[in-house]
Amino acid sequence: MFGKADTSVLMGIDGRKVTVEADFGDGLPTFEMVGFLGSEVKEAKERVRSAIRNSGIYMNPGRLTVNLSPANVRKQGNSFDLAIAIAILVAYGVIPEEKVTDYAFIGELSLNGSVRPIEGTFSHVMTAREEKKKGCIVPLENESEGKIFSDIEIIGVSSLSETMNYLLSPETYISHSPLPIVKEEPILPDFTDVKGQELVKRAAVVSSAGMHGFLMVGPPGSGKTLTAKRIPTILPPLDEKESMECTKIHSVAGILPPGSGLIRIRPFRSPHHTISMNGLVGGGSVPRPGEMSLAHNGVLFLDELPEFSKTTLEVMRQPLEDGKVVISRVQGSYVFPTHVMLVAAMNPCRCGYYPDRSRCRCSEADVKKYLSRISKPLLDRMDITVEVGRVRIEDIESNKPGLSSDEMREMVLKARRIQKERFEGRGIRFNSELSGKMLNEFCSVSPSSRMLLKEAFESLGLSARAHDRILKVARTIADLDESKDIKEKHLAEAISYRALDRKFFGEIYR
Amino acid sequence: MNDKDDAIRDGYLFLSLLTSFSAKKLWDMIHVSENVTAIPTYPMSYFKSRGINFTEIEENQYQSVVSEEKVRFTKEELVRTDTHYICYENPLYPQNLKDDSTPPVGLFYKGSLPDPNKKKVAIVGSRRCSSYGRDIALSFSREFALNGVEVISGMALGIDGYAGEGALIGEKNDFAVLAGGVDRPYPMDNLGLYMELQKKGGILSERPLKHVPYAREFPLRNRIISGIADVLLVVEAAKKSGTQITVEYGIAQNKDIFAIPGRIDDPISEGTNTLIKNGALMATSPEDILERLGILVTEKLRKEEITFQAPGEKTVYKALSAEILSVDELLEKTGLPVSDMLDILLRLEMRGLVSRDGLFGYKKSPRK
Repeated sequence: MFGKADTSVLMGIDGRKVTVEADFGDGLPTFEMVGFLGSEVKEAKERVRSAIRNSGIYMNPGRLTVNLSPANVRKQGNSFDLAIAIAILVAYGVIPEEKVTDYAFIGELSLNGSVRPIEGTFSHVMTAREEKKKGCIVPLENESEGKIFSDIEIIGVSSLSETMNYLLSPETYISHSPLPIVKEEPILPDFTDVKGQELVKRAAVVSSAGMHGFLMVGPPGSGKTLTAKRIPTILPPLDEKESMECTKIHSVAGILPPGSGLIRIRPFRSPHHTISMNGLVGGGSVPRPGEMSLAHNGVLFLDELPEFSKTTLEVMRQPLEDGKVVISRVQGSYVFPTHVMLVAAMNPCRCGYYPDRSRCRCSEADVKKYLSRISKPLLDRMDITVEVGRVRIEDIESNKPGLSSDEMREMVLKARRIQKERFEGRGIRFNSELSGKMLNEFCSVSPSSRMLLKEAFESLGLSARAHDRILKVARTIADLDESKDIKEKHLAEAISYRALDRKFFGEIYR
Repeated sequence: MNDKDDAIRDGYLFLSLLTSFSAKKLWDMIHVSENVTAIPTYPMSYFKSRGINFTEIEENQYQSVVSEEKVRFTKEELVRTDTHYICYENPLYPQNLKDDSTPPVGLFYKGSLPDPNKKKVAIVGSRRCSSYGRDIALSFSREFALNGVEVISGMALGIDGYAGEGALIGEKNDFAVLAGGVDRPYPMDNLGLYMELQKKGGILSERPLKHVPYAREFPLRNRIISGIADVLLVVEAAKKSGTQITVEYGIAQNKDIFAIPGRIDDPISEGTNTLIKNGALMATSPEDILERLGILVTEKLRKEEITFQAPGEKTVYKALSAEILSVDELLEKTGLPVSDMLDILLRLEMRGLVSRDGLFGYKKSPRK
């Protein structure tokens, strides 16, 4: 007798349909599982056998073969158990075939027949939707994650028996009241908490508007982390597509909080500088998303930048450039998106307190040596560098309320709208992505501005590498000013932000 | 140069190649010889019989210089690398150097030699200087060079390097003395300066080409820096700093010592402030030194009228001071918006009216 049940496999962050087939017939008692299976999937055999028996079903001895198709796609993970069990039950004639065709089944089985939660429910359910399934049977704990989709029935089960009961007599199924979806808005941090740091706020607005790399240099306690955490609050709200992407990634990583629904706030990830390569970009024998992917559509904050090893920083370069990381394995390639806004922070010198002469004895040469620890290409990406907290907060007695996150976000949105229009159909979204022909097209400068640039390069000792990046930032600043042309003052501000390029630390300049 | 002079020169050159010999020993050898020309022909026993002893290293070097014909080889190399050698007896040898008790027997150089008709200032100071020291070294050095005064330094990091840089503006008024061979720029951080010095002045050394300096040769080099100069200017020095050694040489050579005063709570100025307390001359402007050298400064070179283009520029310039201010402090003081402030600061900086400390600290530049 033959039976089958549908499920899916996670490839990277997306799911792909898998059909479990079971064939039972006469012969010496064997149980074979085939279909390009990973070792953890092969172990399902024991789990499924015990689960079925402990659910009160006697399995007649005979020749049982289970195949997970298609056979050229590698099956990995622990989500197939339930589908395998159902396919076998159909082959045994316990459940009629027609009762299972409308559903997809995902879940791990315990030896006693209970259904255990898995990761990536969101992606599995998405796949079921794509396959036009009426419903998806998922572990109870993962039910709320699946219920983010309102156009497919989600049935949360806690045991194999419960699943069987549902399939045989759906009318008897008592729907568990869904875990309340957290409706209240979480209290988000706001930029009004950052007092007297107008330069940093301005820099945050410019970086966010054009998605430029943003570096803050300052002593401990000067507000670098405080500022970084608030950057997601001035970025535009996630659109539907971005929201789905983030939710998928978090779901696959297993960190989607239960009952939370779609992710609505831009992610903020701050990996420790001892993080491994895999931890940062993703990987492992069964590739899982890394911090860069978890920060996709949000902010990746690298605190203590010089403490990150050069190799770790180097491995980030390509994903930053491409907006995705492709991890190749024998069984195929996985694509994890990594489009992030890069924010970094560091101390100005080894002791951390430059230029406070009461606490720091470092000379400019020491500062330069400390900065040279960061890989040049990465430093290059820091289009905007500012110093933070040079003055003690208490010393600024201004009564002027600083900008709030709402006000700053408005400015960012204004510039984003201009970029959206500009890049319609051109394949990029932000000024920071400009290069080559498009750079020339959108960042042309007037002759007097060209003179300013030339003078700045000569008198300040800027490198040629900085040239294009300055133009891109100037473009964003002009957008914020709602100016079609890049004016001299826009260029001047952009040049000011490339503080690290200057060769004034003991090298020659005129 | 006639044959007789050539022979004298070769004699000194021979001695210059004996790098493991102290200058004193070389002079002892010269004093016991009839003339310098003959020295390369003498065996070591000649000197030993006249009371000069040699270590094994010295003996080995002497033998190898003779047997490997190093004098001839060096002369060929000099031609090939466009480097020159001048011996003690040559009239163009810097006369001031003869103030030292053991002057170099000869000097290798690229570019030019200091002009005997011009006044010279040696500028020395800490390698790890502050932005204050940097600005002073740059602006004083510039002013000296513009007034036809030559600047001598060691091309080291910090004050030396800035002094060398400032003087590039002049006409062959910039010189550096190295501890190793003149074909070995050190430190590499100042490679740009090294290249410029060959055109805008010169690079000198007591040591032959390719010589790698060891620690002891750096203070020895310093005696040449102070020796060539008429006065010595110490810009910034901590209490225990290598600069003190140069000052001691300067005192022994009877040079006037000037020092720039600094903040009393800043250790980077402890050395200079102490020098002033102990009798060094205090300099608070380049004119102090120029006057001492007998150079009249025309009124025109004094305060230049500063013109401002945009109204904001004047406001910002007035808000600046000798103290280092942050952008946020300037915003507080002037009420200008951030984007305007950055624009103005950049322009003032490019005009040389504003100098930076660290990444985003600003102060008024010392007067141009």
